[in-house]
Amino acid sequence: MNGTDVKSVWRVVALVVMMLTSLPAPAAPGVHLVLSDYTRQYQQVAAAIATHLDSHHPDVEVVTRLADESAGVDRDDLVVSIGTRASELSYRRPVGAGQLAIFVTETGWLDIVDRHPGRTPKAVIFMDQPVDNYVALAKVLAPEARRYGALLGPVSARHRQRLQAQVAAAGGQLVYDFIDTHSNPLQVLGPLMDNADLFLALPDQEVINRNIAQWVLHLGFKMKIPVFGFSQAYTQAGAAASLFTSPADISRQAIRWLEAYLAGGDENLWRSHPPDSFTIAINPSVSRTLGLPAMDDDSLRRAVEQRLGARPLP
Amino acid sequence: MAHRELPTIVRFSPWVLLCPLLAQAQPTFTEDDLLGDIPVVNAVSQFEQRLEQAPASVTIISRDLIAMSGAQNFVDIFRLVPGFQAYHVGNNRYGISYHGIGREFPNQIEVMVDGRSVYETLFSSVNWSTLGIGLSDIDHIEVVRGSNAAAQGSNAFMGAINIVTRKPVQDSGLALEVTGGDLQTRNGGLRYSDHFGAVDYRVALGYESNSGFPAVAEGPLEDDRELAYGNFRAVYTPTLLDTLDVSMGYSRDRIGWGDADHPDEFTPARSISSFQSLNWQHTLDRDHELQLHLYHNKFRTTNFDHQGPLYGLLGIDGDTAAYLTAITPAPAAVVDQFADSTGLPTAAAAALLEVLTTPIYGGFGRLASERYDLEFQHDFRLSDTVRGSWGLGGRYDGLDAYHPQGYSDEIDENSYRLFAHSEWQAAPRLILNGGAMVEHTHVGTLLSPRFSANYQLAPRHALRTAYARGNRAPSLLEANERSVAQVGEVIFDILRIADPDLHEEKVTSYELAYMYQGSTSGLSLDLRLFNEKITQVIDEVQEPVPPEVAVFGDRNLKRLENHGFWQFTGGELQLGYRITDSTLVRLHYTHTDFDSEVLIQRVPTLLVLDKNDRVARHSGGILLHQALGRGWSVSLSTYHQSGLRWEDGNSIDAFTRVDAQLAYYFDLQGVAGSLRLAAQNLGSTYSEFNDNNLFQTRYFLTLQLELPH
Repeated sequence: MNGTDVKSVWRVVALVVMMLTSLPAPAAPGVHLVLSDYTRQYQQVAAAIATHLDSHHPDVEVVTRLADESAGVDRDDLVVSIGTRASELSYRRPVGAGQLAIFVTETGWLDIVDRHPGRTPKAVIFMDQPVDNYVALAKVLAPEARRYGALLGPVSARHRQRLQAQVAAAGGQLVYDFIDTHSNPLQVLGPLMDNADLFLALPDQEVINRNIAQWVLHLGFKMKIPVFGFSQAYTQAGAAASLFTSPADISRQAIRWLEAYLAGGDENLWRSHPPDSFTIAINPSVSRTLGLPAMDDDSLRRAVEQRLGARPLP
Repeated sequence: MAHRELPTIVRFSPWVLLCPLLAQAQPTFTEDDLLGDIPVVNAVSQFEQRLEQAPASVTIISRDLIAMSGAQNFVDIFRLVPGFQAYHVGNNRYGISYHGIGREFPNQIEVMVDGRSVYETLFSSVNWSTLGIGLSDIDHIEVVRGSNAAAQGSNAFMGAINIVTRKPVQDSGLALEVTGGDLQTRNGGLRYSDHFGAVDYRVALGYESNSGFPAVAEGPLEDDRELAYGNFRAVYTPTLLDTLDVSMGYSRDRIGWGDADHPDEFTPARSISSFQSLNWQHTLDRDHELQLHLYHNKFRTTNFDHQGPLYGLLGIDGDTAAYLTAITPAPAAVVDQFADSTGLPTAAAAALLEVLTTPIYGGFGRLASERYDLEFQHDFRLSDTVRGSWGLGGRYDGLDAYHPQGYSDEIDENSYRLFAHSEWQAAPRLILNGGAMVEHTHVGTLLSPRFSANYQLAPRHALRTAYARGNRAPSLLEANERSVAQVGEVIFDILRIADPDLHEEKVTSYELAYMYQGSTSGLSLDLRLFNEKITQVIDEVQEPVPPEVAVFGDRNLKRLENHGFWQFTGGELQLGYRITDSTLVRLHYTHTDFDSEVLIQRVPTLLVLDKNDRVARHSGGILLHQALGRGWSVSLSTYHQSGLRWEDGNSIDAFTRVDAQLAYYFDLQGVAGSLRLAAQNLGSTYSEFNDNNLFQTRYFLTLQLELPH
């Protein structure tokens, strides 16, 4: 090779180096926040995630849309589906780099998976709290109680064994019965609550929740036993306290997952995740009437977390 | 290969095969089940809504608040609600209205007990003493402040009250309550709750008596009372999706009836009332609920004041009367003599001679009413953002009025109604409510719409703006009013008649409201600004009695007509604050500007005035409750009302009343109870509605025992 040939080679190398260094960096993956509809809770979660990504990852393009709306999902984009409907629609149309489903129940998600085989990686953060947490709440607020009452419907009946074990570990005994839409609620609840020191209103199908709640609360007031519920609405209706996954809990956990994902992630991300936090709402008036310890929501939450052995969250 | 369409039967066959599998599939359970509403309030829009979502301002009076306040009757209870006029027409007759002008029979508010209307067509008002329930039967009271005609119809013109009684399941065993105190008050109540098989039931009996307002210089006010009542309620839940609620009640009341301006004219009025109600609720699925409500009210009251024969009232002695009536028909000479001595026209004198010995009765005579009502309602949810209710109903009202010197009428009316309401979460912070009631009445078809927008400024802070129109059809009594003074076939005076063209009153209402509902802070605030204008007001116009009827000289009659307007503008404030676990403060205040134009008479001269002094410009109260520990608690409350001239009463100066209560709650070996000493009006004596209704300091002691089985 003569001197001219060497110079030509070096010119080509220099050109290639210049081209490579002038090429734009590879684009960060986009995130599609797909909502089931525009109800307030879904909007809260989407807004929290979008705000976090905008401030901490400005290079990540965030698209917020309804599940029904079509939008170009690139190969590297991540779909975050919020709610069962959005999760199912996204699951049926696997696109992008993967799907994180949030604001869904375990039962609702498994139903989707059973009906629609998927291809892209899936992760899901469930919102249903384990029965352990309800028992811990009851133990903190009513430590002297021994008989834990519960009415088990078609959904909550699946947790009976674990519930019995948790109550026994708390030094109590589970007093329970079963109910469905054909049951006479007063005939079932009356004797049950008569033999209980407290009552755990476990989440079930809405038609059962709505129709049993008034009798549970009336009987609870009459028998002066605390009722512990599973939603803010239950506390407002008259439960002494409720434990649930709030939109803020969901968005915080989703943001932690996204941070891990954007940092490179690992296979451990692509699985189902139980909720790692919860919110507690106390009804001060009812708690006071029943003589329960006077605590605010945050103090009670920390006390329950301590009992569960979890690290208190900031 | 060409694509072929499968035949329908083949396309559907996989579903047929899957059906057994679907039937055994796990029940669905999504976030909607976890986030679903738990039922709360339902008086305003006919379906359950949180207070901050409702299209009108609502005040909830809880059982605890009633106990804390030391309330002894419904007047005491509704003085806790901003915007309400609550007053004693007599010691045992109550006037309760929202933005009213102090009538003896306020007629612009609907009152219900467990959804059953107790508005009485006989008085175009509510007879509070014959509801068939006692204060201890009340669980809570839902008060809608503002026109609720869109939800409850004509009678809810300016507002609505729903008294919710205790469900059988809420209590158990035997409860006793006795109260003794001033005005010779002797009240007693007994309640028993239990279940019989799958049916939960509650039985209550009560007795109340007192001697009424104290005597005045002119003599005793005989407005005493003796009331006995009983009620029964049963709830049967054959399935989780069905609730059958049956209730019935009976009351028997004797009350002193009269005008305190004339203490010597009080006479006893005896009333009997009864009701039966059947309510069936059925849940179809998570998005649909049905309700069917059938009820029957019956009421009868008599008030006769025997005043002797007609000749005695004319100042004629018995011997003279015997002479005048010895020959029938009376000879012309006797007629002339009688006409000369009385100054009556000859024809009138002749007519009166024929009835000279007729016994004359005062009082309102014998009145009876009956109502049957059937209503169907469907509550639905179309999506997570849209829900509502619709329904239809029919009502039969019958009225029977008799007075030997006045009237003998039987009137009835069938009316029908159709209503619908919806709530739409238009945006995360914006809820829109819309609804209307269409009623087919004896004055035609009436439409009452309402629209509101509720905006969540921030968590726990809500703003509401609302517009409503309402119609109030004249009651059966108003529409058929014809009170005359008649003896035999001779009508010698006309007291009150209804214009044949009497039609509905109309109200147009605007409001702006702000609500704050704290959680752990225990602070709640409700501020409402309102502008309500009523037109075509049904009111009395004075005119001369026709000469041929005016037997005893120039007299005036009152004609019920539509005319003029009333306009209420102002603001209401309601604040509750639990300062500590043991300290509660509750405050309410109302400022009302009232503008009006009223036709007083047309002849002989046109006279248009206003009634602007009929409404208290300022009213309000503070309640302070302090738990002292070991079961003791004390309450102090004050109520102030600025001076006004009651429409059917007197001009009353402003007054401030201070009440107090000391209570002790105990639990002795399973027997729970309380002993409460209530003091009303610890200050100087003031007058209620009439100068002679003197409200002095009163003390009451109540013992309550609960004996669970």
